[in-house]
Amino acid sequence: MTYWTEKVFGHVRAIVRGRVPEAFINRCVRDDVRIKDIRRIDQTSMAFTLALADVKRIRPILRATDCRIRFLDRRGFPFLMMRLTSRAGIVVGCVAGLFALFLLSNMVWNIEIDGADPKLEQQIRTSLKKMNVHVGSIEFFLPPLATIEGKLAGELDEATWVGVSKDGTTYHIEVVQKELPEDKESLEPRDLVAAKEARIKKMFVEKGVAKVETDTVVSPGDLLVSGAIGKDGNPTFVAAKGEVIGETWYRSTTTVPLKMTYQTFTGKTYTKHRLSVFGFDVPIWGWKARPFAHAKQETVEKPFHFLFWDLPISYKKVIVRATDVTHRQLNEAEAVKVGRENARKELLSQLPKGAKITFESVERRTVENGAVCLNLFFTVEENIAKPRPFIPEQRRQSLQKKQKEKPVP
Amino acid sequence: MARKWRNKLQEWFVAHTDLPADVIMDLPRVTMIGRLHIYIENHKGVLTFTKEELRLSMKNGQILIKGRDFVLKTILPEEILLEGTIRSVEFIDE
Repeated sequence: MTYWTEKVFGHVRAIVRGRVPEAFINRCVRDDVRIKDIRRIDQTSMAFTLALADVKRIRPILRATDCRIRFLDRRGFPFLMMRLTSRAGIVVGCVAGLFALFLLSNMVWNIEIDGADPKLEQQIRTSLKKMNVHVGSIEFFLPPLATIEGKLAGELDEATWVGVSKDGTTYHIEVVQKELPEDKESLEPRDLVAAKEARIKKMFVEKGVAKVETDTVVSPGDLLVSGAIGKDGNPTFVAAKGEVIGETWYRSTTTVPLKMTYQTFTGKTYTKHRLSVFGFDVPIWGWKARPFAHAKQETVEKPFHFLFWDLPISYKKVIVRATDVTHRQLNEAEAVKVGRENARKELLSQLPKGAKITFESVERRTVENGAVCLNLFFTVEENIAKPRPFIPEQRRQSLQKKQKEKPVP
Repeated sequence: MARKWRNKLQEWFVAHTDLPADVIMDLPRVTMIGRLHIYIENHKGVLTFTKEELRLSMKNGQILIKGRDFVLKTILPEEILLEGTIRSVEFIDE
């Protein structure tokens, strides 16, 4: 009968030797010293078990009954601790070994990159290194996968898609590379036609024959530069190339509320560190429950691993960003200015590169429901040329037909 | 004389109520589990204890337990738990 209390507080086995050991037992019972598992050894001695806490109280009893004691065995937690401290080296070694194993289980061991050519692979590895993701880095300090993915996608122009996944201690990075077409000269015969209704401003023709003059108004599909050059009777066909700058017109409507409430980040952040154990959050650092009056928070969670197991413990980082609620009150003139700016940006985002707004005017301005409504008119200069291939044989026939018709009248 | 009267009264109480005798008359209560354990309450101290014998002091007289491989598992002021192979339990009058 060993109770848990004995295990925790320790107990000793001892032999009492004296002329009448029974007297010792009776005296122990009287003085409320708990002894147990008493066994007679011979005429003058008995073995018994005693709680460690009672060892000191046994001295006067021994003296009174004229007995001597010899300790045999020490058991229980206090003695275990004593033995462990005397073998501190082994204990420290075991703990350090486990810690090393734990650390190594949470380390990046391999980064596999699929679908990238050597050049892009090198590029990926350097940008990963910038984010501290390399072989041997500890996982808790790495950004979450989505962030890595986003950053890689932003940095790599040559990739259409980047996928980052993690399998144990290995990061897999999958890349779909853009098939960049070689910028070859199009050898197919083609014309340039108008993409939209416009008035021609300037023409820069590299190849082909200009068919329109400046200041003429063209509608979509009108021939601008012909790919047929040379005599009408026997033309040669080329791929027309050039830029036709036309003046185009746009109308747009924007609404700007006069009163606006919006949130801005003040830039102040408060970071809380949590250890999540079996779903319960144990705060480690960052104790304030509500550090800011208005705030938004984001949570990053990192599970701990040990060898191939996911431990039910994870590290959680909660970043609280302070926000400010701002009210903006505009007068009408300001609202118009904002509305024009917005409309301009929106229009330019839809137009090809190199387009520029040459003229803009407010056609109508109304105020209703606390918002300014603007109807705007823009004049834009942009390249309106659009290639249109043709079949040389058909073109030749149609040209010949035209020529035949010509001299008749 | 008074002692005799008290004993008489106690015996009458035991005979005419359902109260257990050990409570009223301060007698030892001995519980045995087969011949493995013996549990004795209301003892008045150990007189001898060896591997083959346990002699306890009682209110009037002694109790002598004989057997083999005796171990005193627990000993408290009023109770004793003895383990071993018990052969006999004997009451000895003074």
